[in-house]
Amino acid sequence: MTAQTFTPPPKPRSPASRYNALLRWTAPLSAVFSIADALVIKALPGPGPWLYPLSILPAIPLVAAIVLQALWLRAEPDEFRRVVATEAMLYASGVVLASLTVIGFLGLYRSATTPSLLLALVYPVWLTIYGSTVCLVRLRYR
Amino acid sequence: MKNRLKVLRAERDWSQADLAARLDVSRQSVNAIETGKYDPSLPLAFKIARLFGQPIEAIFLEA
Repeated sequence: MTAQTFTPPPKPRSPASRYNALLRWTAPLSAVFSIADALVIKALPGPGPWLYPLSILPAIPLVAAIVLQALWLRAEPDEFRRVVATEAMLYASGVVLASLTVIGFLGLYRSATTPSLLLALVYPVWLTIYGSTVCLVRLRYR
Repeated sequence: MKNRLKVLRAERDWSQADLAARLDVSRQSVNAIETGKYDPSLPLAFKIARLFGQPIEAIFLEA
């Protein structure tokens, strides 16, 4: 029997790939927002009411990332990709939540000080762990 | 769950990428299903059965 290679007809960009492309922008955007925010807060004279809106600013790309991830999950036609992403997100969230719980308790009982830098950078930390868990989950299915 | 996907694919001389393109899924999905590490949903199992022209139970076997 001869090989029958199947080339699917070119498809217009799917909503899932559009969400995925937008998702790629949220991490660098979060980094830019965080750095710019830190510089602005440092330049301002002491704590004041402006600190609240400025502190919300770096969380905006995070919220956008969660919404885009949810939209991607709904739009992605490949169920296996959805399973891998969901499992990896669960593991990454578990690692981050468990670590913050430990750090929180250590801070609460003054055995250690809660590093506020870690709390401010929780999204990049989560993203890094998520990148690793995606690789691990994919490895498991190989 | 065991399946005959690899055999059916080999009979048609299709690569994993060919089968993935026909099913509109990723090559990784086909690999995970073939190795029995991932069980497809019912709609995908029906799609596979339709593609090979066989009933689902002739492709997917109880372990």
